[in-house]
Amino acid sequence: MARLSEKYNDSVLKIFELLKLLSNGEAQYFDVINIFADEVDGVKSNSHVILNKYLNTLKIFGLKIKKKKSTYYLLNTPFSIDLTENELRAVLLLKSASEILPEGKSKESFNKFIKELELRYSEKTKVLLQSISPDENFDLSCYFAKFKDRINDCEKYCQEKQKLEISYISGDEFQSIICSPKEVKYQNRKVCFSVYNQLSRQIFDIPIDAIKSIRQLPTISSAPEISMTVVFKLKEPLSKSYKLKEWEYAKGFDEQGNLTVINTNEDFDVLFARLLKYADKCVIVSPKFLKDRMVSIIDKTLENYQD
Amino acid sequence: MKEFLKNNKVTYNLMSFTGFKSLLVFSLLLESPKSYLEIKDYFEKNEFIKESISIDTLRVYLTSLRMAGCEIIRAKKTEGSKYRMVSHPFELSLNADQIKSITKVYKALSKNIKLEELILLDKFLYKLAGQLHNKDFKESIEAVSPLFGLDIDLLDELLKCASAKRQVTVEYNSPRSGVKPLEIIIDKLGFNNNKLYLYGTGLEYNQYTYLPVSRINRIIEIKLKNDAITPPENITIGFEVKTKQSEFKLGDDEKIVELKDNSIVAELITSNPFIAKQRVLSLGSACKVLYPEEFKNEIIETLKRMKEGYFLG
Repeated sequence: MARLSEKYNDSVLKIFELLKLLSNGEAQYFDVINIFADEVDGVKSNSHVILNKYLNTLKIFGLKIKKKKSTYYLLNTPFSIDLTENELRAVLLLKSASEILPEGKSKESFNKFIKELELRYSEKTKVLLQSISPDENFDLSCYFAKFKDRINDCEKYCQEKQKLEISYISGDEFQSIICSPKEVKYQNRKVCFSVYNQLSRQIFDIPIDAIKSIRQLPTISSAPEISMTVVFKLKEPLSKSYKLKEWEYAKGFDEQGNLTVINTNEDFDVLFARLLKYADKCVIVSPKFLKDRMVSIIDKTLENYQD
Repeated sequence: MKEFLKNNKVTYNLMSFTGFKSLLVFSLLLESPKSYLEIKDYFEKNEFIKESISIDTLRVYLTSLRMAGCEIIRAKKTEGSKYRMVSHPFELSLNADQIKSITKVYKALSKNIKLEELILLDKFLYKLAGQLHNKDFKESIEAVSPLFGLDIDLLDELLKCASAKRQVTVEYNSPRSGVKPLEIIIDKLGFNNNKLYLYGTGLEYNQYTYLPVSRINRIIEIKLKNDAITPPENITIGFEVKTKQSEFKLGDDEKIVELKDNSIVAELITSNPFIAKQRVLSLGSACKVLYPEEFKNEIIETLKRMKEGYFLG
């Protein structure tokens, strides 16, 4: 570590302390004035005069500071960031999707990040931002707004972790399950509430728009959440080209070149549709009831052709 | 303190001269590494300061800046003895909660936006992670990015070729036959089961095909003009699905030909029966192939082999 000279200047420390406080985007007068409270032998009556001198220094340096009631707002910074048009579009994209976050700590911290980022935009970036017309951005808020209340409810259930009784429509049938909430998933412009059913040890991805009612139960699941593990075998050539999903791992190749895959946490309906695509290059090994279910699907499909 | 000339921008004509000079040193070092002489020269020419700065005073400023949280190092004599700002307390930083929430928004977006949008989003977030020297953030995005492990520049190139339907030769790492060149007229890029594929007409068999992008090493050649080829022979497959129209997601090459009370009759047009076979099988027992007979028989035979797989061990 570099050796520090013993000599330093208090004014430098003060101006940077002030800048640090303001660089959060906003600062309360009480906190700001406190920096200068002991400037002159503890005589606090002069503090506001000294504060003004330091604020003037920042303004002459080129910083824009606005005071509204008892709050100071820093409108630009000396440490700016230049963004390209595509990078600005990426920020707009993130902003447009922030609606999906539930109200609370998570949303606050995300918005704080966006605010801190925007505060650092260079003048050039700000001009560029003006040139991106509003209808050109990737506004997904309308889409998310459609399900906003239900999404917020589901996010809340996930945080509270209490068991739920969910009624929903699957196909033409009315279903009801007792489950523990896991997460809200977004895929292909479809929002699903992913839940875990203790009884079947299965993950269900229930489309948000299929949910008819959710009742929160007073208990939290006490049993450990062990998802059903599905083991399947892939034959050549698929076994060589198969790319494992993030919720899967391989158990190695056997002598015939078959790859054993261990899968957890995938909705069974989604998994079945996927494995069916692999045709005769895939066989479910366990659990038995899923193996039987696959055979039953194959049988039922064959029955379609028996007329 | 030093009294300044009146400035219309400020209410008072007093300011902290030392504070102002330290801000100048700070911003000069933010721009680029500077030597003492460069800083001195800047001070002498500055419209407010118009005076020199001694090396001792500069050292006091640098010490104070370090105490304020800046990391400033001085390069070796052979490198010009320049002072360099390594980090400062105003850098954008991300805490664990922010990383979590950005990742969550990214994850949701990544499954709902176009590939072009996903690429620019990935580029921006990786650049940000690099600038912030935040390994956790980078790893958090990598863990959920559908593009992780793919060459983004290659993707950009392939997308351009797709929009112009260009004929290209790619170096393809085939799981069966190893690395080899493949010629394809690119149609589109798209995700299937979270895996990115390149779709187009393969010239080897003159058939519509798809290749996992992760297996494409590079583009060997982009033809200025596509070869005049005989369009691949398409087959039209008719199939009935027991479902409601609202719940049925049509593929790009599909159209509904008849709506029944509890089912839909659709047609799929393709030059690649393998793609059609995968599509039909994924619909399970809800689907029945109606025509052509040859394809229908192929599905029946496949189903029989699938069943045998469960009883022959």
